Amino acid sequence: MVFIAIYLLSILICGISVLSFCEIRKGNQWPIHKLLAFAYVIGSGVSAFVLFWMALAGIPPTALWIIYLFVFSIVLFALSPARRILSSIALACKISGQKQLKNQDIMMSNTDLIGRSTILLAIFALLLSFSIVFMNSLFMPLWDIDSFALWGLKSKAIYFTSLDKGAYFHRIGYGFSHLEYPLLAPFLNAGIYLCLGGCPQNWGKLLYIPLFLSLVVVLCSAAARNMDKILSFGFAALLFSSPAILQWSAAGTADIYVVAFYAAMLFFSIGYIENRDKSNLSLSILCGAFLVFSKNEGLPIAVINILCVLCAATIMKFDIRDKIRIIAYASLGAFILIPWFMWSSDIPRIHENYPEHIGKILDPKNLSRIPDITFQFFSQGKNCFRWGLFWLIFPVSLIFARKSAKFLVPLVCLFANFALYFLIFVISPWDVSYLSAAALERLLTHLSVPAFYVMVSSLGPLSENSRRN
Amino acid sequence: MFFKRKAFLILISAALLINIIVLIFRFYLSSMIKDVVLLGKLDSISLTKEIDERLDKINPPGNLFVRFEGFKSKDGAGWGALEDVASIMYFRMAYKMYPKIVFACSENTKIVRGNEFLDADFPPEKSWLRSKNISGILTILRSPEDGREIWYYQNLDNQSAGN
Repeated sequence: MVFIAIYLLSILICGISVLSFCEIRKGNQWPIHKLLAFAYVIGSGVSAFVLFWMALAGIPPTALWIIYLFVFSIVLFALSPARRILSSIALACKISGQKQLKNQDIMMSNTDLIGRSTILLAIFALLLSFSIVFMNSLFMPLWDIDSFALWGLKSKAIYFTSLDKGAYFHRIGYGFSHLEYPLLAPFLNAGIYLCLGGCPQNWGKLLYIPLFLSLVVVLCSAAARNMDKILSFGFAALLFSSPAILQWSAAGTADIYVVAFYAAMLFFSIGYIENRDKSNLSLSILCGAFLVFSKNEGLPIAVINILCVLCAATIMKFDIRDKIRIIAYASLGAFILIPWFMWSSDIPRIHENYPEHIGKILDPKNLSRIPDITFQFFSQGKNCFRWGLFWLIFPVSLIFARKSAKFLVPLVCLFANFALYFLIFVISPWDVSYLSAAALERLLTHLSVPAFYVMVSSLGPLSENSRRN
Repeated sequence: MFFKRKAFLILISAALLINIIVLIFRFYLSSMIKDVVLLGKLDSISLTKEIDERLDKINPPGNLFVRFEGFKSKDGAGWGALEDVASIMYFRMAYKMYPKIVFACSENTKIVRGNEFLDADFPPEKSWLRSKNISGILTILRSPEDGREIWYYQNLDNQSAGN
């Protein structure tokens, strides 16, 4: 338990230090919940990379990894401006805490009956969602096929045999577990195993609980840029009480990490486009690197996002130096990933090679799948038992389209991302019904992030008290 | 503006209400959690639970070779077919046994979907078993009549056998 506390603390310290290098240094005073939520998301990515680098350096996987991670986080903290501005953060937290209490009082007293019932429903929905995530994380074994056949197996491989390729990564008899998949989630889960000195199925999912809470706050903060607190809280609760999201929030897979880093990347990308400050850009690129290290889908998502930022910078007539900066930062992000790409280059890729299949897109056999795929996407989206009204409200929000970076960047990301997933379904050699059952819901989980941004940015300004945060 | 905001609040409230109702009454994860965690009924996770318990009982000192018999359906492999049951069992065994390795065919056979070993027709020789440090052979027989599975474990170290 002491090790788990140290591990969680290290993740948070890493996150706060990185944030302080970038965001907080500008004097922005974030409320404590927002600071902790972003720190946890970013700290998870940093910690996974640190554990990976330790494994690459040949340090055997023992509890020492956690100690080294803690030492690293302390050094990072000591070097970062966080140390100097700690007192101001504390002061900011105190002030913002007092302000929030006052705001809440004002919010509740000034809110009409509908507003109050929305708040109460949102609180109840989130409490229910949290209890499901909590119970699924801590009291259920790994029961979903992907959670044990892919991510659970990889986490155990890291815990027992680290990066020994002969033990797992070159074993094509275990090819079903996608040997080449990125290792962010397995490294983080293995960290918990190292703290406990074993591989209990339920405790291994512990990190999904703070991740879920952080994600709620991250998207709530994103919504609050566009609308008042009640609406932003309501919209966040709407997404995070969807059964599909809850299903994958604590299943033990990497999809929720993709959602978290995608949400953070878009948050900072929009921040950069609006304010043109380097700190938002660097954090956005960093989250992109974490996305790539989370899942194979992370690479196209991150690339699409960077291209969108570049396009938005061109349309909004950014200085040429700004555009060069975007490319330079993106190259730095790629640089962080070089060890992973180099190390994983010889892992057998025995699943479908989709880039090879792209040439077959015009094959009549593939084209004939389009109506079926379209039907599958639509029936998944309109399934109220999995998504509630989330995907039904989304097209309504498109009616209120507006020319702003807040709206256009996530919209383009969403459509490019959707087109990519649709294309994969078209060219895949697998049966459409098999693909839908195996992957469609999780792909829509990824797409729900830009859809959420589009929704809040288009509907927000229509509501009362719309404001910039 | 005021009416638009009210409309949004009503829309969100309705959507939240739907989510709450679904989570309580129609979400299978909620009922699974209720059954497994609160009531102690393990029916919904019986397959994985049974595999875990049987492997705990067998607990081979080395690697394991597993043979699936009676898992080929007449209509061929497809979503939800018998072949998939064999796949899931193999996946679970691979996960549960790690760092011990579970073989279902030659190590050179690529297993992507998870049931390629059913077509592999690979009777392992003693020298191969020794070279792979396999200490036991597990045969899972599926009765075509009632679908019952019989587990038969042969311990190669002392050549004993048991159900």
